[in-house]
Amino acid sequence: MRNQKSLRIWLARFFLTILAVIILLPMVQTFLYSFSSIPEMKNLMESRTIRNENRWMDLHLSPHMISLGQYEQILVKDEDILHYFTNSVLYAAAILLGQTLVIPALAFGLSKFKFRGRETIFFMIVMLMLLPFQVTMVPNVLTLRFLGLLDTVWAVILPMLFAPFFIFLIRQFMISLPDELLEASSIDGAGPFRSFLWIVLPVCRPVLGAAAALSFAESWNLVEQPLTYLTQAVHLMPLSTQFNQLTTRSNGYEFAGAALYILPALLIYLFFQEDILAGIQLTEMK
Amino acid sequence: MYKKFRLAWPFLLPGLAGLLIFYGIPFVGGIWYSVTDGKVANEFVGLQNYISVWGNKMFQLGLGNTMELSLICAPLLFLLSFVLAAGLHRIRPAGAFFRSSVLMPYLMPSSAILLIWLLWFNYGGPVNRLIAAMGAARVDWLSGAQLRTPVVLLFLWKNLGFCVVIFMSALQSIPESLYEYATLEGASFMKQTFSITLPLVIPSAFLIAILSFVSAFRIFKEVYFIGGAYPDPPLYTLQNYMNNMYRDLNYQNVTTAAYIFAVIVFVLFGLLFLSQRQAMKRLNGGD
Amino acid sequence: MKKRTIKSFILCLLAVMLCVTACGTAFASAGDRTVLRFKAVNGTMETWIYAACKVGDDFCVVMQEGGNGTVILRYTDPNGEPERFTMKQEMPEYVENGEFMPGEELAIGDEQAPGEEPAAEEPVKEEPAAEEPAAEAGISELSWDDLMAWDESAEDSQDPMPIGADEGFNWDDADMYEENSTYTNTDTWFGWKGDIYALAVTQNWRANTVDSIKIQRAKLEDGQFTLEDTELPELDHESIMSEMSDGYFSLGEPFTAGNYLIGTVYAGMSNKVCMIDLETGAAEFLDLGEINSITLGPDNSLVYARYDWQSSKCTICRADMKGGNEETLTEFDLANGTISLCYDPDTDMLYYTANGELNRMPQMDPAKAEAVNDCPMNYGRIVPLKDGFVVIWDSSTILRRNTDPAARGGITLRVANYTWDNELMSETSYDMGEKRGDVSVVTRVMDSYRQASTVVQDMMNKDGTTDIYLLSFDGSDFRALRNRGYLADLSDNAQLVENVERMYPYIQDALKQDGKLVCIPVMTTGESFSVNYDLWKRTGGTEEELPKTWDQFFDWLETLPERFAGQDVKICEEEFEYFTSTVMNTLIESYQVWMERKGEDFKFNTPVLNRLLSRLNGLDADRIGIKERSEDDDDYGYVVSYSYYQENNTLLSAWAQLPLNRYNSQGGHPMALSFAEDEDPVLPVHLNVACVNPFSEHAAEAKEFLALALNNLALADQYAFYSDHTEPVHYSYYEENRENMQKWLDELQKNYDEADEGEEKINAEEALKQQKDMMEMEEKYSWVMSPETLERFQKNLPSLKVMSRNIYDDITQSVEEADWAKVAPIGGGEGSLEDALKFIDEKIQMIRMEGN
Repeated sequence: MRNQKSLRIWLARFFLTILAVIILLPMVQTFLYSFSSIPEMKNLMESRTIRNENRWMDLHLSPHMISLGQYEQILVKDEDILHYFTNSVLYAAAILLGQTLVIPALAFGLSKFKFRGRETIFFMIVMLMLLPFQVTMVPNVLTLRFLGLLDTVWAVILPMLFAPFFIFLIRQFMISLPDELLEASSIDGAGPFRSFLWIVLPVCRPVLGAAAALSFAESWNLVEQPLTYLTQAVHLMPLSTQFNQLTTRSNGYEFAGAALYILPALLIYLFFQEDILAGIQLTEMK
Repeated sequence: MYKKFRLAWPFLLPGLAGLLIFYGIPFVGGIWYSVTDGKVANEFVGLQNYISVWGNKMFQLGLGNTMELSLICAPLLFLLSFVLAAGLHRIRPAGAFFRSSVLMPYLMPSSAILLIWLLWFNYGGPVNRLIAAMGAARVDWLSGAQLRTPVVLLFLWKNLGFCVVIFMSALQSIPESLYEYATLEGASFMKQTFSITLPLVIPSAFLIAILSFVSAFRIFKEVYFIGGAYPDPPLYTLQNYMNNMYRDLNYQNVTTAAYIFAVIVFVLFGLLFLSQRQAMKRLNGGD
Repeated sequence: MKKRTIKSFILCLLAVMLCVTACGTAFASAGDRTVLRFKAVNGTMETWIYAACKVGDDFCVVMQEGGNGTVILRYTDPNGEPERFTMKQEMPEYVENGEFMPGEELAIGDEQAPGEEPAAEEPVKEEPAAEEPAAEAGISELSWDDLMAWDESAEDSQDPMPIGADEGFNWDDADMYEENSTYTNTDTWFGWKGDIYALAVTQNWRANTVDSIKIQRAKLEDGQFTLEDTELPELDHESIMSEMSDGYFSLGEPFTAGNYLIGTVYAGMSNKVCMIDLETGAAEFLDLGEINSITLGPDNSLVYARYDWQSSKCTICRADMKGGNEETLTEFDLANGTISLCYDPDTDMLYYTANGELNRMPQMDPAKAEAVNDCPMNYGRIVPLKDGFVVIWDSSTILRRNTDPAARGGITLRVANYTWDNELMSETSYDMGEKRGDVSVVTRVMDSYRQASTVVQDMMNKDGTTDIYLLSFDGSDFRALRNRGYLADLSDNAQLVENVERMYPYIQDALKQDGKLVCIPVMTTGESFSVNYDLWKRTGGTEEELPKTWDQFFDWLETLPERFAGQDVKICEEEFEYFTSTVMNTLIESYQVWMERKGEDFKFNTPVLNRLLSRLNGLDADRIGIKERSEDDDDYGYVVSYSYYQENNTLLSAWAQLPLNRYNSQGGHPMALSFAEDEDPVLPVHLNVACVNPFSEHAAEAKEFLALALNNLALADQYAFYSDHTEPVHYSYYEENRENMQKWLDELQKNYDEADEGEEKINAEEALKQQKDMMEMEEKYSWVMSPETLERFQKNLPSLKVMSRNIYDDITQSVEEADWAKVAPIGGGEGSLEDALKFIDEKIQMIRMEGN
C-alpha cells in the first residue's frame, strides 16, 4: 500500500517534470539558440523552405559553438532592434503607470460604493472585455484621428489604460473584501480616499501584482494596436511587431532578438510569481 | 460599502471617462458606419450592409473559422485544465519547479515564441521527426488545414497554466472535511464529484469558460504572424476579414462585421450565463 | 530651297512664339512670371539652359540655343527684355566649344534648330567648318569610308561627347585623329564679381583623360561674346582628376560664395563636394556621403539635403566647412527625392524647392519655415534677386517667383501625382500660368507605395485640399474611388468632353462611369515584347506566316533559328531570361484581359494558361537562338544600342511599349496574340489617369487644367488616344538634314563626274553609293511616329483593352514572402505548375471575394 502510493507519487512527479520541460522548452531553446553564431542560424533559418523527404532540418538542442555574435549584432552594431526594444519598454512602462492611476480607483468605485447603475456599468465592462480588438477598431481610429493622436505613441497607450479585463480582475477581488474593513476605518475617521489608499490597496496587493504582471504581458505583446494606429509612424513600433514569420530571408540574429524580448517578461514573471498565483486564484465570477 | 454616490465620483470619473472615449463612444458611434454606404453622398442604407456582409463568402469563411477555432480551443482548454487541475489536486505537487513553470507561458510574448514554435513544426522539424520515428508519414504542418494544429497547440501552451491555477484554487477551497464526511456517508467518487466538487467549482468554471472563449477569439495575433493577411483558407479568421477591410478603408464592412460578431458573442455568453444560473439552481435545489 | 525657307520660317515663328510671347504675357498676380521657357518640338529639345546666375546687379542666363550655339542673355530688369549675346564664331577651328564639328555637317538632333536669327545663313557658316578641319588636320587623303563612319558615330551618340559611340566605327583605324582627339567643353557657367565665367574642361576622349581645366571669362560686347583666358590660375587638373574615378569632370549645381566655386562631383560611387578657390586655383574635396543639394549657409557653414529612399524622408542638415558637427534642421516627406537649396546671405534666408513648392526658412529657424510659392519644375535651382523675388530655373525654363507668402494670392490648385512621371504636370502648370494668371499649380509627387491609401482616406474625410489626383487606372485606390463614387463628374467641361469624344472607344470606355466622364487619360505605361515586322518582310516572310495564337507563337519561336540560318539576322539582342520574362508578363496580362472579356470569374488554373506557361518555361534558349545570361555579365540585359544608320537586323526585342511603340528606330512592334484560333487577339494596356476631387473648391479650374494637360500629352500617347491622329511625323530636323544630305550628294555626284577614271573614280563611286544608302536610311529612321508604327497600331486597335485590375498587386498583397517558393513554378521554378496556379487562385479568390 505504501509502496504503491510512493510509486504513484513518483510517477506523478515524473509526469509533471516532463510537462514542465515541455512548457519551458520553447523559452530554453530560444535562449540557447541566441548563443549560436550568425551564419549557423542563417543556415538553419534558410533550410526552413526545403521540402525534401530525405532531409531533416539541422536542429539541435543547443548551438554547435557558443558565440555572442548575435548579441553583438543587436546590441552594438544594429541599432534597430534596440530602438524597437526601447519603444516596447516605453509602451509597457507608460501603460502600467497609467493603469495604476486609473484602474484600481475605478474598481474601488465600482465595488465599494452603492449606486444605481453600478451593475449595469459593470455588465458593460464585462461585455467590452469579451470583444476582440477589431470590434472597436475603426471607430477608435476615427476617435484618435479626431483627437489628433493617430500615429503618435498616445494612440497605443491611451486606449490600453482602460483595459476592461483588469478592471474586471481587480473589481472581483475588491468586492470580495469584507465591508467590515472599511467600516472599521470609517470609525477611525478615515474618508473613502484614505481608506482606499491605506487599507484597500495594501490588502489588494496580490491582485494588483497579478494585474500588473498580466498587463505587462499584454502590453509587451502588442501587435494589432500598433499595426493599426501607427501605420505612418513605423519608427514608433514596439519590437513585438518586428518578429515577422512570413519572410524566408533571415538575418541570423532573430533568436537573440527573441531572447532579449522574452527576458524582461521572464524576470517580471519570476518577480511577481507569488502575486500572480495568489491574485488569479482569488478571482471568481460572482 | 459607501452609500453616498457623490463620494464615488473621484474614483469613477477618470476611468469611466476613458472607457467612454476609447470604448463606449467608438462602440456606439460605429453603428453609424454600419448603416451608411460610405459613398460620396454617404446615404443611410438601413440594414443593407448587414445583408451584404452576412452574404459575403469571405465573411462567412472568417466567421466560420473563428467559431470553429474557438469551439476547438475553448472546450479543449477547459477540459484539459480541469483534468490536469483535478489530477494535480490529488497529487498535490510540492515541487516549486512545476508551479513556477506552469504559469510562465501566459506571460511570454507569443510573437517571440513563434520563432521557435514554427521551427518545431517545420517540414524537416522535430515534430515531424517524432512522427516519422513512429512510422507515420511526415505532415506539412505549415499549410492548409494542418496549420490549425500548431496554432491550437500554441494556444493551449500559453493559456493552460492560467486555467489550471484557477481550477486548482477552486478545488483547494473546498474543505477536505466535506469529502471525508461524504466518504463516511458512503458516497461514491462519482457522486462526490457531482454533488460536492462541481457545485463548488461552478463559479470558477464559468470564469474559465468565458476566459477561454475570450482568448480563443483573440487568437488572431498568432494567426496573423503565421499566415499574414491572406492565410490558407482554413485559418482565415473573422479578424483577417476585418483587418483587410480596414486596410482597404471599407469602414462600413469592418463595423458591420464587428457588430454581427458582437451580437454572436453576446448571445453566446448570455447562454453560458444562463446555463450557469440554471446549473447552480438545479444543484442548489437538489440539495 | 523654297520649302526650306518656309520650314525655317515656321520654326523661327515657333521659337519666337515660345520665347518672346512667353516673356511678354505671363504675369501672375504677385509679379510671378515665366521668364523663359523652351518646349520640345516633336520630341526633340532644341534649346536648353546651362545656367542662370547673378552677375553684379544683373541676372544672366547662359543657354545652348539650337544652331546659334551658346547664347548669353543679360537681364538688367527681370521684367524687361534681355540684352542678347551670341558666341563669336572664331572660324575655322577644328575643336570648338564642346561641339563636335564633323558631326555638325549632319545636324545632330539636339542642336539643329534655328533660333531667333534667320537660319538661312547657317549652312554657309557651317559648310567650311565641316571641310576645313579635315584639311587642316592633314586628312585630305582620308577615305570617304572613314568620313562617313565619322558622321555615323557622331549621329549615333546624341551626346556631344562621342565616348562610347560603338558600332560602325573602328577607333583603331583612325590613328590620324590622334592629335585631334581632344575637345573642350564649357557646360559649367557661373557668375562671380560682376562677370560670367565658364570652366573650360579640355577632355581627351580617346585616352579618357582631362588635359586641362581653365577658368575663362565671357567678354560681352556688341551682341557677341567671347570666352577669354583670365589672369586667374589654371586649376590643378591632375590633383582634381585624381579624385575622380572616370576621366570626366563636370561640376554639378555650381554656385559661388566668396572666392569659392562650389559644386558637387560624381566621384566613384558617391557624390563629393568640390570647393575651388578661384584666386589660388586650389581645389578641396569633401565627402559628406550621399547629399542631394548643397549651399553655403551663414557663418561659414555648409547646408545640404540628405534623402533616404527607403523612408522617403528628406532632411536638411547643417555642418561646418569641414563637414563636422552635422545637425539636422528639418525633416519632411519627399517622394521623388528632388530638392534644391539656396541660401541668400543678404536676407539671411534659406530657400528650397521641394514637393512642387518654393519654401523659405528665415534665420535658419525650422520653426519659421513655410511654403511661399509654387515651383512647377521637379528640380528648380534658385537664384535670389535683390527685389524680394527669386529666379527658379531648370534646363528648359526660367521663372521669377515672389517670396512673400502674403502676396501669394489667387487660386492654388494642388495635384497629387501617384504616377512616376511628372513632366506632363510641369508643362501644363506653365500653360495654366500663361492662361490663367490667377491660378498657380502645386504638383506633389507622391510615394505610391507608402501613402496610397491616403487618397481614399482624404475623400472619406471630405478633404478638398488636393484638387487633382493622378493615379494608375488598375490600382486599388482608383478602383476604390470609382466604386464609391468619389470621382467628380467632368462632363460639364466642354473642352474635356470634346477631347475625349475624339478618343478611341477602348480608351473612352475606361473613362466613363454611368455615362459620365470621370477621369482623363494622361499616360500609357504597358510594356511587351516586339517583333520587327519590317525585317520579317524584308527576309521574305509574309503576314500569314506570323503566329496568330499563343500556341503558334511558341511553335514559331522554335522555327526561327533554322529559318534565319546563315543570314545576318539576330533573333533577339536581349538575354533569354529577360526576353522570356517579358513574354510571360504579356502572356499573363493578356490572359487576364481575355478572361475579363469572356466575362468569366478570374482563374489562373485553366488548361489554357497551364499549357502556355509550360510551353514558355519549356523554351530552350539554344533552340530559339537567344543567348542566356552568363555568370560574368554585370548588366541586366539592357544591351540595346543601335547604330542610327545601320539596318536593324534584330527580329525580337523585349522592349516595346503598349499600345504603340515609341522606340521606332528599332522597327519592332507589339504582337497581338489570341488564346484560341477562332478568337480575337488581345493586348493589355496600362493607363494612368487624372481625376478631380469631388470636394475640391476649385473644380472648374481643375478641369480647365486637365483640358490643358490633354494638349501636352506625350506624342505617343496622343497617337494612342486620339482617333484623329493618324498622320506620321518626322523629327523636327528632318527637312534640314535631307537638304544638307542632298547638297552633299550633289557634291559627291560632281566629284564623281569630274573624277578621272581609275581608282579615284571607284572611290568616288563608292562614296556616292554610300551617301545614297545613307539617305535611304535617313528617310527610314527619321520618324517620330512612323507610318509602320501607325499601321501596326491600327491593326492592333481592336485587340486593345485597358487593364482594370493589376494582377501583380493582388499577388503581392496576398502571397507572403514565405510562400514565394510555392509560386516559383510559374516562372519556371521547381515544382508543379498546376499546384502553383491553384495556390495563386486560392489567394486571389480571397481578395476578390472580399469584394474590394
